[in-house]
Amino acid sequence: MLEAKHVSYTFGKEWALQNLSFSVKKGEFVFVTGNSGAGKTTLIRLLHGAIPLNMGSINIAGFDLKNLKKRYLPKLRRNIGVVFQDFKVLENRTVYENVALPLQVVGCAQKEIKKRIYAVLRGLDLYSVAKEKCGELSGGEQQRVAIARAVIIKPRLLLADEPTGNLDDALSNRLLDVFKQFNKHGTTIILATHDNKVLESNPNSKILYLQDGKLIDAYSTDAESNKKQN
Amino acid sequence: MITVLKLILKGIYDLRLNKWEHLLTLCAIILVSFLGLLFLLFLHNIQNQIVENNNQVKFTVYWEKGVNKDLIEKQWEELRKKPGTISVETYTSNQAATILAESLGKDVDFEIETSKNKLPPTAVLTYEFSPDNLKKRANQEHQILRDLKYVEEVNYDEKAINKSSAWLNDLKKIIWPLITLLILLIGIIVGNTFKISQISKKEEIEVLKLIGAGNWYIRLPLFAGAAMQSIVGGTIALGFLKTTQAILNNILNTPPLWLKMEFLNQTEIISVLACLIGISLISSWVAIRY
Repeated sequence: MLEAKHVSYTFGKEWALQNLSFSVKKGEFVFVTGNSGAGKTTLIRLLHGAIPLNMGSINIAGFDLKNLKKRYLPKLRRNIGVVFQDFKVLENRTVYENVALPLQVVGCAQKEIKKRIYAVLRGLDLYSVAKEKCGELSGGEQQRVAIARAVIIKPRLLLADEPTGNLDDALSNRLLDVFKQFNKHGTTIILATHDNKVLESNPNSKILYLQDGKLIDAYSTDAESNKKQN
Repeated sequence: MITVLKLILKGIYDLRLNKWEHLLTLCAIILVSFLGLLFLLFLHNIQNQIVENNNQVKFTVYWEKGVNKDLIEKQWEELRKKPGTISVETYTSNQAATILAESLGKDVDFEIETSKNKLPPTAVLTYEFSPDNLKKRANQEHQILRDLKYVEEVNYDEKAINKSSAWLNDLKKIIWPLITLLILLIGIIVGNTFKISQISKKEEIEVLKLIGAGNWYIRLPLFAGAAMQSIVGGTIALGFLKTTQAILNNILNTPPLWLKMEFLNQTEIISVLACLIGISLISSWVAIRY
């Protein structure tokens, strides 16, 4: 599904990522963890094509990010759902309109859009606020809208950057359950978090541990397959 | 094609979002367009006045004495039918003598009906020529009139034509730079207004890019919205201008001024609207790029 080889990235003279190599299989749930400034967000942004890959190579579902032409970037992004820590929802549009955006981009029919949106909104407990503007919702609700928008296209890969960063424990757990549900249905998930509680509550997941831009450890918390890759 | 249409409609429908920003942008477009159009209206009318007073040429044509009256009158009829003719005043020998006698007074003994009347049949012809080649056309017409059968002499005021040509040339030199300057000013102000208005959509553009929207999917609705705003703004500004023109015409087209205030012609109106749309599209393009 995803293969990264010798990936490095610099902001000026500062190394944000250094020589990262890892792979993610189809249907895997991978956590990227590390302290603040470890390079988690940079890695997520690289995987999403938000920043250009200069060093190393990344292949996501057949898309070679190193040699990907600018005009093919939208095509890659239509296969990847992304949830940001700051939500990035359009506050002056309704929940329905926000979630509908990715489907409208791919030219989905209105009838299908409506059907899929209400199914997802029900699953994320957003049905009752479908007609409300996102600016009027709480942080937790906005986060769920961002997730709904990311999963509505049934992405092959779902990237989430600190999706539980602004939420309390109860809401965090509920959101993780939602991610697990999508993972069960076959979506590959890469979730960046610095929250140990999140990692502890998911013992069977693969974890990429970053420190100062370097991949310190890549292992599965599953006791039986606890193989160190790096 | 349907997708393009949908995106255009989406752009127009999205104008309901950020209502105040769009309303203020529209107000700015109306105000700037109105001021620009008012300036254009004055230029248009000044040009009209100058052209009207300088594109007419008067020829005085004298026929040979003793030529059959019917033959000359037939020629006069043909001259009246010529395109560009403003007026044709004709005088037979007797009519000319009568007018002369009247102007000289009753004390002068003037033999109108006799063979001693030496005044030739005369016509004063006023023609309107294109201001672009006034001098050339006047010379050509002079030659044509001179070549008419039975015509003895043709006079016209060459000095006045030179003066008119000079006026019209000067006008051309002034009008175009002024119009260019005007378009440039409107372009800068309206363009910047649009640019600022589109920057408020930065967040939306960012989100659309993140979810995999292509360039045209993002740009087309913004272009459609901007074009719609400039059409509405331009049309409202033209409406204000029409009202202003009607008021000014009522004030100025009365004694002693008799200055006719005409509205812009169709070409000028279409050009203004096309300019506004063009400016809005270019500035939207620039805004999205940055």
